[in-house]
Amino acid sequence: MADAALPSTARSTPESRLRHVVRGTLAGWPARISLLILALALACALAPEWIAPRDGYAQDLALRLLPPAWSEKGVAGYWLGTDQLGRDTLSRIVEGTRITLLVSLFAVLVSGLAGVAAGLAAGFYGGKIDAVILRLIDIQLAFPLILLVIAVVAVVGPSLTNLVLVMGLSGWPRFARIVRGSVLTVRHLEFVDAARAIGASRGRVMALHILPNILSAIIVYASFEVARMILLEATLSFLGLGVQPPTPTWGGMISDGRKYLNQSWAVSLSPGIAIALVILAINIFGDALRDALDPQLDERL
Amino acid sequence: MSLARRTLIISAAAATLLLPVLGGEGRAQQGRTLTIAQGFDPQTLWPNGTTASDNLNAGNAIVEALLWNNPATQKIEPMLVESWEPLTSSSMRLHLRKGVTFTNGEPMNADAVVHSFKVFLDPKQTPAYANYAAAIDRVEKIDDATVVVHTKFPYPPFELMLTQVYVTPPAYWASVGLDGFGQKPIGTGPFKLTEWVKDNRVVMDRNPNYWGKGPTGIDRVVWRPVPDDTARVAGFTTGEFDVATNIPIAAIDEINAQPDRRVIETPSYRIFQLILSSLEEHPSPLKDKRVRQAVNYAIDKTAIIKNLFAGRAFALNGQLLRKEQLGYDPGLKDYPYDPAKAKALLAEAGFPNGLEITFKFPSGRYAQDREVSEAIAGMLAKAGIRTKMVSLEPGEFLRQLRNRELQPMAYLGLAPLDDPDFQMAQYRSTWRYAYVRNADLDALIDAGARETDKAKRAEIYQKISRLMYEEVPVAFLFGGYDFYGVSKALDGFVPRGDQRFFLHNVTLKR
Repeated sequence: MADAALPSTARSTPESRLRHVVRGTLAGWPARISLLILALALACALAPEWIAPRDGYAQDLALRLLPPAWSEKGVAGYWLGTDQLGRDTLSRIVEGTRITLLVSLFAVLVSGLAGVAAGLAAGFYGGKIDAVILRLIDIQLAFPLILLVIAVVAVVGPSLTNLVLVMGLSGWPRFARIVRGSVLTVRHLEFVDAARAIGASRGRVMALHILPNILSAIIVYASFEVARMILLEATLSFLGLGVQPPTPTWGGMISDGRKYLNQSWAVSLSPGIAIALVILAINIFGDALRDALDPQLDERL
Repeated sequence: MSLARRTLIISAAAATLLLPVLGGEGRAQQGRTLTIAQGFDPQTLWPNGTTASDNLNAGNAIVEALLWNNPATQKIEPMLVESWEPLTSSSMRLHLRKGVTFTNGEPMNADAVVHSFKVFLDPKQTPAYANYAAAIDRVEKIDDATVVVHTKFPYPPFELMLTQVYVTPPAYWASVGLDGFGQKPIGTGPFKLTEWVKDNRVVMDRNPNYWGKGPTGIDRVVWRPVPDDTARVAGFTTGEFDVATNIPIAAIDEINAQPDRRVIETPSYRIFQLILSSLEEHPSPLKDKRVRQAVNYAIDKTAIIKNLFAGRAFALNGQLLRKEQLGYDPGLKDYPYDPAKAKALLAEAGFPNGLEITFKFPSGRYAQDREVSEAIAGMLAKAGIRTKMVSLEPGEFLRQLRNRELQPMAYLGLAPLDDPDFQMAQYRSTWRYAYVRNADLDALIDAGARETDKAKRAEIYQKISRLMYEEVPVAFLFGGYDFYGVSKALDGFVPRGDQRFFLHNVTLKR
């Protein structure tokens, strides 16, 4: 319906690009719900102490591995039950939001920037540059991540910045491969040739003509990468590079709770659902954003 | 291709695919193969190469020692030495078992034993055993079946030391060298090496000329490395393994509920403690004795044992020696859980608002190490000791331990051999990972190491325990248990507290 109304309004008063994108993104219900979830996650990240029902660090060994409050043996007040040390799971999920999202989003940003730049260059220039970048990708993919991480710990020592860098480093080859593949399909299309024919520089062609056309693949892949980074953080913290206990992270909660699955499923599953919801929200929102951004779906053209 | 030919090819392919499976099942039905899942693939099958129990358990099925500490009787019993008697206070005469040969045909005699001692005494070849070897002066061949061992001073754990000396064939050793022997050992044991596929399996077949009775009903032993707890438990419950080591506590009830599986619980030699470094080169509030005592008061040991270990750990009673050991002091009791007293001690030491300290712990080295460390950190926080936790990967953890970098505070479990000297020597200032320097303690440890009179020796160790209780170089936590999943078809499987087990007396029923 909105689409049907769009041409007339667009003709009468030319809409700004930003308002057009926002309206296009929030046209469907899934995107609105996603935005709500993301807003909630953002609120948890900014002010966990106002949202968490209890102190996520307070232990009570006598109340360990409680099931969620609605089940038979649940205790009111511990809505999602407690973990292996008797800490409130819901509060820990809320407390863990900030560090989890901070680390995973920044890691994806790092690997995304590096990977997209490398992939664009490889796909667009081809030839020797392509060969060199492809070999670099192969080398990185062949090198065991855990070994790399242990080496980094030994050399520079653990810190949050190093964590983000190492995680980012682990992801760039996948980005680069996807971007390179997409660039190869786009770069010989007419509009690229047309842009070059009217004298656009290579950088301009890459940034303004090719990148927007492959953005959808990047956004979809990035949203999956966020989930991978959350779990990778748990692995790294196990090796001593990641976030140290007792600070909760979602990935860490899943990996700690894994051992107690047959005693209490809620310990691992609750943070798992939190991750799934946020990833789904990022994914749907990213998809809606892509549709709104996609030049081929822009009715004004 | 005609249909008939195609069917023929398919059935031939199917037959070749199925054959090994059927063959394997046929063997299993005969009940001749014992499959054991341990955490790791051995690095070497030469027992004196390392002190790691996974290496020793497998290597000991091939290479045997002079004596052995039988976990079933808890006594030191003959192995390749048939009988032994002290000559003077610092020498021992060993009578070797006669008519024993190595599986390559070399005779096991005084020359082989003297050769094995020579290797044992060389710290370059057996660095892990240098501590025992340090007491030995020289080894003398009397005749083909008699050897005399001289120590530099009267050495109380003489017999225990002899259980650590593994006998190797001199000619074969000379031809393959130390590393070669570790990969292809030749010994006098009940099994000989058939095949070793790295990180997959070690296969040993029965030694038909074994001098003793050996295990009953077993023709072949297969050692499988399975590092992942969940995978090891799964393989054990489905019957792939007959024995699985290091069963996690959470899986015990599930295993015991099965009709043909059980879990054997063995009190471990491993004593868990917190390093509280008081060395000058490690500046921290822990230098003050009152702070170290406060740490002890702040930890609720009983709650950890009851809740995290479901009662499957034992209290230490404020000392490092176990109840069964010589020198255990029944008069000592654990520091009670008393956060108020801990706070008072901290205030007295000049920290009325509590203090902050780094707390290192391994991740994946001991059972539930992460959970226990986090629980301890939570308890310390309640008493005002705020910890900055540092999780260490097991390899890095051991490296830091050896280099005295596990400071100022760290979670540690030590499992020395079953003699009070081996326990206490770890706190002598010269020990490579001692985090305490106390002249009185050093003098007492030296006295205990050389006292041969049992009553006097026990008294010395009680003195050491009381001194350590007062000085608290560590926080006393608890003693652990080891858990083995064992098929009910296997009889006579008795593990020892140092995670060693022997196949000599087991029976595989079918």
